[in-house]
Amino acid sequence: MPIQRPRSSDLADLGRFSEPALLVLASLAEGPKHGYAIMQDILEFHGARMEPGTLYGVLARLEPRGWISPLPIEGRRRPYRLTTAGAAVLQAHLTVMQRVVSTGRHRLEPHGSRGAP
Amino acid sequence: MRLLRLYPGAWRARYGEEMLALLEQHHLSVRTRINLLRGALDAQLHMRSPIMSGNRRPTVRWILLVALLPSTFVVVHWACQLYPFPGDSTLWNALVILGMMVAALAATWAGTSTQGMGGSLRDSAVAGGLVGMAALLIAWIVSWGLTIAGLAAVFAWAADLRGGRGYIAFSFGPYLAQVWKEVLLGAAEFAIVGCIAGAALGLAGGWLNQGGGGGWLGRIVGRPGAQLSTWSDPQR
Repeated sequence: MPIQRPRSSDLADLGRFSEPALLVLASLAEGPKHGYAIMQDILEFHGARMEPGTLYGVLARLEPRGWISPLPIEGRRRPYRLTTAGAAVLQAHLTVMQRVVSTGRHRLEPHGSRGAP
Repeated sequence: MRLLRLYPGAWRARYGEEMLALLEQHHLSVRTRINLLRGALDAQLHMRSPIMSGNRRPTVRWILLVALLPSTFVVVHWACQLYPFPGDSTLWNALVILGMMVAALAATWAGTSTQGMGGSLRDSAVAGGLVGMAALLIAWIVSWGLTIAGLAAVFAWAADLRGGRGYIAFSFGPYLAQVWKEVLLGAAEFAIVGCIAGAALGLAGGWLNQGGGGGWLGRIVGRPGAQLSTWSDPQR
């Protein structure tokens, strides 16, 4: 059965920023972080370096949607936290991804360790 | 960090300091610089103000749509020339003035809406200038397009009267060679006048929306823009 997702809460609406947005939401799911900490965390758990222009492009899109919210500034850094709405969007997206992963693995089983022909 | 100056003013006011703090810890490779350049372009195109992102973009489309309205007056004006009414010159002049008033309103509205969405006065001036330039430039292009299309129709009809043999000796090549300088010069004049007048009106609209002049006019002019931005954002 196809999963129904409300359009306003779809990460796909962010276009080319949807994947970086997923990484930022996943990073903030651990707890509030400022920009540099988010970049370091993503590098650690994903292996890809997110550049500052992309990071702030994502933050500026997530904030007005109410998926993250800024916390009081600490020195010159401003931490961000994941909101309840943001957690719901992340949860919905991970559920879909989980289904894709399990389906893909299941369908690859007949190929064994040889992989696809 | 010079690259940050390429971002819109409202953006720098919101994210500039924390982004600068981040960049001080980050190795500024060529890739980072290209990424910042791309980010600045993206911010200029889509997020002149931080809260103008995502679902608020339709408002910009609405403003541009209003900027197209003066060209419809040019079309009506041209149609009236084909079928002249009694005392037509007054009617034509009235239509042109009406078109210019709509263009002025669109530029002012762009300024108030941009300021109302969190943009600076500079953003309002830029928005008004772009709308003013687009309005006059499009009106000019439509006007010349109709003139050339009309001439083509008239001379095709005249040629048909003589069995396609050219009742009146006319060729578009020499005609265009004669008028192209006038067309381009006129377009440049319209673009410059539209840009300057639009920027002034946009700035005035932004200032009025900020509370200048008692704020009453800004509230009236800014209301449609604010209303549209609310309608276009399902989350607000």
